[in-house]
Amino acid sequence: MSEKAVGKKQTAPKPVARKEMTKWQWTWKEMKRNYTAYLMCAPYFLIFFTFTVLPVILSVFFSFTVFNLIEPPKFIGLSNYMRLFLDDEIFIQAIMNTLIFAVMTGPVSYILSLFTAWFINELPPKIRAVVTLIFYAPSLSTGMTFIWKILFDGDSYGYANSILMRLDIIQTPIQFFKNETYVMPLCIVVALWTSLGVSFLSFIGGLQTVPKDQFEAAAVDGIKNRWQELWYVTLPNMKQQMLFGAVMAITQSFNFGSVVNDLAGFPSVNYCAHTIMHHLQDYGGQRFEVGYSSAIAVILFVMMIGSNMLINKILNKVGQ
Amino acid sequence: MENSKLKRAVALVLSVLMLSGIVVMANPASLVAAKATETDTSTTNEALEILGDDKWAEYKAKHSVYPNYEGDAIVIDSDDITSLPKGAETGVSYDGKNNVVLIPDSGAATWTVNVPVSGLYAMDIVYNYPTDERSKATDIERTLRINGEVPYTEVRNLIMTKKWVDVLDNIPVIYDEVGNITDIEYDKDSSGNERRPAKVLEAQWAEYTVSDPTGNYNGEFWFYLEEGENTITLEAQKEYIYIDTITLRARETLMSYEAYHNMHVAGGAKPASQSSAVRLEAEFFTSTSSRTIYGQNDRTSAITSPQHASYSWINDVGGRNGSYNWASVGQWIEWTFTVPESGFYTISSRFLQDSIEGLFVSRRIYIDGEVPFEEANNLQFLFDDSWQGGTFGDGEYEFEFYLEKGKHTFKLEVNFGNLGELIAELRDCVTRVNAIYIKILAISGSSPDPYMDYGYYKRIPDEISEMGSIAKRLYAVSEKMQEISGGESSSSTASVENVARVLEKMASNSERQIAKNFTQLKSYIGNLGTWINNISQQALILDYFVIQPAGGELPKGEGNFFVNAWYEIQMFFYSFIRDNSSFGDIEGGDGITKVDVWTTVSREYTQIIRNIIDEDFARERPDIAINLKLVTAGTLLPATLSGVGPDVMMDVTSSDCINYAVRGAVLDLSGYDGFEEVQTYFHESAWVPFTVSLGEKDGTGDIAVYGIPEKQSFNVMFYRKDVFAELGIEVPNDWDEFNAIMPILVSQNYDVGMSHDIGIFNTFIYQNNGSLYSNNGSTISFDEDVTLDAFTQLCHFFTTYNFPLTFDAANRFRSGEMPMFIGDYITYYNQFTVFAPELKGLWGFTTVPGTVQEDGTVNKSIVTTMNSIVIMMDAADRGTDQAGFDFIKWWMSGDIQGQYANELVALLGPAGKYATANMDAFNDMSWTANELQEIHNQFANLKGVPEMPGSYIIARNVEFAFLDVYNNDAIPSEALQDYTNTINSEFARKREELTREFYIPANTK
Repeated sequence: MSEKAVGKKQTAPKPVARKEMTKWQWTWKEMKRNYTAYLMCAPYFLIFFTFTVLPVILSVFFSFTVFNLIEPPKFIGLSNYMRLFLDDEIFIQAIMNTLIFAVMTGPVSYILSLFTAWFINELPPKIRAVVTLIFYAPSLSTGMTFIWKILFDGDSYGYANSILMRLDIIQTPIQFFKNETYVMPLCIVVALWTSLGVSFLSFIGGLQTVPKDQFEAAAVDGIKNRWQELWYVTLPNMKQQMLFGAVMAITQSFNFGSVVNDLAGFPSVNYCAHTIMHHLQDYGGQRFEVGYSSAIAVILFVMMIGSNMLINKILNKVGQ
Repeated sequence: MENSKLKRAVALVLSVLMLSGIVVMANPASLVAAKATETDTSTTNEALEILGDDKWAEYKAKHSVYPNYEGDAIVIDSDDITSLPKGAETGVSYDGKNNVVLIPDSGAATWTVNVPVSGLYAMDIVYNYPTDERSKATDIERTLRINGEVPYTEVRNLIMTKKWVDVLDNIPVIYDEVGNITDIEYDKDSSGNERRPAKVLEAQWAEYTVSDPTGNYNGEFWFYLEEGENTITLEAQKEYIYIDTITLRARETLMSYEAYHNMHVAGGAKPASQSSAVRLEAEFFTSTSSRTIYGQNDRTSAITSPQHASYSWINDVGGRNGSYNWASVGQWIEWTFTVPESGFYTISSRFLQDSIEGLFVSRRIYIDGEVPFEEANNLQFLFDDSWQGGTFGDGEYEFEFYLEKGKHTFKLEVNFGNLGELIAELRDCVTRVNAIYIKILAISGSSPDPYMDYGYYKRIPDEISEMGSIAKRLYAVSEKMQEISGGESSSSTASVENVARVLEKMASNSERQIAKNFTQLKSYIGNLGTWINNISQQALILDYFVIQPAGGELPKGEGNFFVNAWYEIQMFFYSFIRDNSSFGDIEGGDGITKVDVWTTVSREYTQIIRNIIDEDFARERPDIAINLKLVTAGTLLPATLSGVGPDVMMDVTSSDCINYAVRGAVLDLSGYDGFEEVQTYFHESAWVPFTVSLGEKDGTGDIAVYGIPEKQSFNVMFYRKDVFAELGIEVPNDWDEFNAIMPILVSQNYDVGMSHDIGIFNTFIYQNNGSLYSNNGSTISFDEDVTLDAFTQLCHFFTTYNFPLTFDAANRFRSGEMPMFIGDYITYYNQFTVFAPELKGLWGFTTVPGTVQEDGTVNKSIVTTMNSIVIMMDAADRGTDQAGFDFIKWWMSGDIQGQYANELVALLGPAGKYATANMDAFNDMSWTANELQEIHNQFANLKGVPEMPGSYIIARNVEFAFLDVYNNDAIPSEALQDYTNTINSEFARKREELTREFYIPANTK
């Protein structure tokens, strides 16, 4: 072994300093040196590229065309984007709705889960486990929304209608999910209900990893109340979980479309709960306008990236 | 936290309950006023007439005081016919008999006979049937009238069966030295699975003894005839029939088994020797009563013979739990066998009865065409989850039949055995309870308040006391059932006793109990109805028989551990080879065109399609190999994109068809060989969605047809006969009559159901001679008065009469709250048949009301929704398009669609009705004459709605406009007009985007 090492030493070329090479040369050299790592990454990368990166690139490409899946695409430049922003009222409504859902299921539900997690964390372990399950259960399955469907069914035998009619408050059943007045508020309530999910669970996990000695140290350093404790000790310790929770919440809020579909049908009355996802689904699935729906997808993509960057910035301020 | 939530919830529930007690719900509107409007048209009266018929039990009780006729048989032949329907032929020679009469499938034939003495007579009919296209795959059905009257309700639907045989012409059948079949070498498909042989109808002069077609009563029926001239009328319900003679004769009763046995022992009969045992596979039957009873494959047991762990071999006959094959009363299978010596034989079988738990499945056995003794009406097959071996018997005896040396036949016919009379009694009770239920419903609504005084005792005293007597009858039935099943109380008796207990409570002298138990009664009576329905399906599978002297070895039920284990192991390894996803992938060879056909229906359906292809198409067109594949919906688009799509796609909605067509993915079919013939299969409305005019804006361009109609559905109006009879109102024929009965229904708290979707909207447009599109499909007609009026008319029902927008039609129809509603005929027909068996005969359907025109006629147009079969563009490149078209032409032909529909019913039961687009196929299906008439009436008025690129936008905007009216009290015509521009600009945009231009052909609306 030692002999080999000696031999290697003899044949080794003169070491090259990094500054003598261009950036690309250096990268290439490093890649060759670490080729095993790249090899091991390759299977995952190939799959990730084919199924995640490639579709994104393709949809950016198709967003500049008219394409109906069956006939070859025709290039039309920026027309799709121009139509989206200048000639599509429903799209503007969809952006509005998406933002409302994003704010409700994003920040509002985020803060709600954080505080619920904080409260629950104070409970004795056994009770905590049960309560955690109760809060987490709704998000286990999106199909759970059917409970709301039964509760607010438009039939006179729906729970809400049946109770209201028995109390003589109304005479004919209210079509909760077919009336613009009720659709949005109900969807938001359901959104909040289902969104207490993954982020909430990760917060509970995060809260339990905060080292006890830091609280003691903080007490010595003169922490005055629980709020200060939360802000200066607990939260900075949980940054990872908070970022994870935030990203999940944002992704979820943009993908809320399926819940609305379950509740209000597709499309909802007068597009009153129409989100960008619905718009995409409408054009891509029903109208065979893949070019146009790709443009919608690109905008949704940009919005998501933007909000993720924003969250990163905000989270960096925690504990400062 | 949880605790306070719980408290709050409990408090809320309590407060709701307390408050609901205060709310007054009664609306005792005057029944008398409703009765005054009574009219005298057909439907209700007919329902009343049927309800008013005597039952056999009642007839028997009334007439058994008269003496039996004891003279010679009186034979009535075609010379005694006094009236015949149109299309009948007399003096015909058929199948070896001369001077017989052929009577078509509609109208009544009457014979006149002079009876020497007044008395009780039994009746035999010698009949036959044509075997050409006039005969459908259903039983012959006739209503018997004596002197113009139906003597009792059971003879309204006399069923005469036909004889179906397997075609074994080119299939080697191997016999042993005695003459029994030991093997049949069935055809095999390319994967080695056996293909069942085709079936044909065989003419046969059969003697039908008039007896109970419902299977409730064993033995023959009899009639009381006065001395002198009498008429016998057979009124056609279904099918052509040849009749040779009708015989009136003295009543006969069967001897008991003991007498039968003693008689033969006295004649010197002895048990046959053990060496004369005969083994016969059940799938080698000689004939069956129905096209859908055939040999099939069982893979569950290792020792079902013959069995293979990979291939599917035909190895049994009958059906499992839930099957409708050889399970309904009157269906039979006949076997032929030869015994080498004379003597007593028992018949044992290996069978599986997993359908009626706690009780037994019954069969009636005929030996050489005769029921040998009374107990032979009651062969019992006990319940078990696995296969069993057993000897034919009635639970008391194991029967020994005396057989002469030589050839014999035996026939097993489905009946109810001992249970029959109990089932009849239960059915009668259910009918009575339903009538009482409707009376109470009319007084106090569907959920009466126990604290209200409804005055039941003043208004329906008779009904209340009848409830008590029905409870007693039900307890008696339950007791008898326990006796029969060996003293055990089971789930079966429980559902009977539940109803009895509730009725007892309700009759127990307290108004409160009636209101309190009312909803409970409905659910229990529903359960009982379901149970009666289940028990009416007497499913049984037979593997093989052993005909041997008493005491011989019985067939084994299941194999031992090692046999089973070896079979399972083989199955496991074969599972790596066996391909279950494709249904008979056939290799294409020289001169054979291989056509890929995709379908999205379920697995069972696909298997049936495959079987019919094998049985019929593969034989007719050996040059075309059909490769049938079951795919999930949504596979078509990606598959077509990547060039691996099918040649022929089934189950394509009309909008998908046009969407594909306008983008050039499916072929124009109008130019193919045989298109003209296919055109005649369907109603003209069926073609409308798939037919477009190319290019020219005025619709005068070339006509292209992109799909062949496959399924056609439309709305009909369902109604509850009993509620209409109770209220004394008629089923409306037009909207004016509809509006006239609305106040009566509304005042009695009844709801009427109607969808508010675009289908109903279109119906109103077409009834007013309008059209959904204008300018040949370039624009929407929402700016035209006709359309706006139609929309106003639609909204009117919901705003004025408060029709419910969302409702569970099946539940409300069943409970009687919604005695009338408009809905898809197949969906709801199937649903009610299964869901509400207790209402059998109490509901019907008819055409949707029409609009009265200026000239006084009624326009009953109604729109239809279509599914189609298309040929993909790829097929043209592959050169399989003509072959694909030939396949479609064959598949959609009347015979094949009829057969498919019947196979589905055989598989899924009465709920398996299928909405084929082929009009001829309807006659093949098991609709009653009445139902068929209604369907044909509705068919005649169907209108197709053209499908244009971009038409998806219409339905949603109509819905928005409707909800605007419903929720916000908008003015209908204004609400609808608001969407004109949205829709028109979407149309314009689509036309701009697409290269192909589709317009509505100028000659259609």
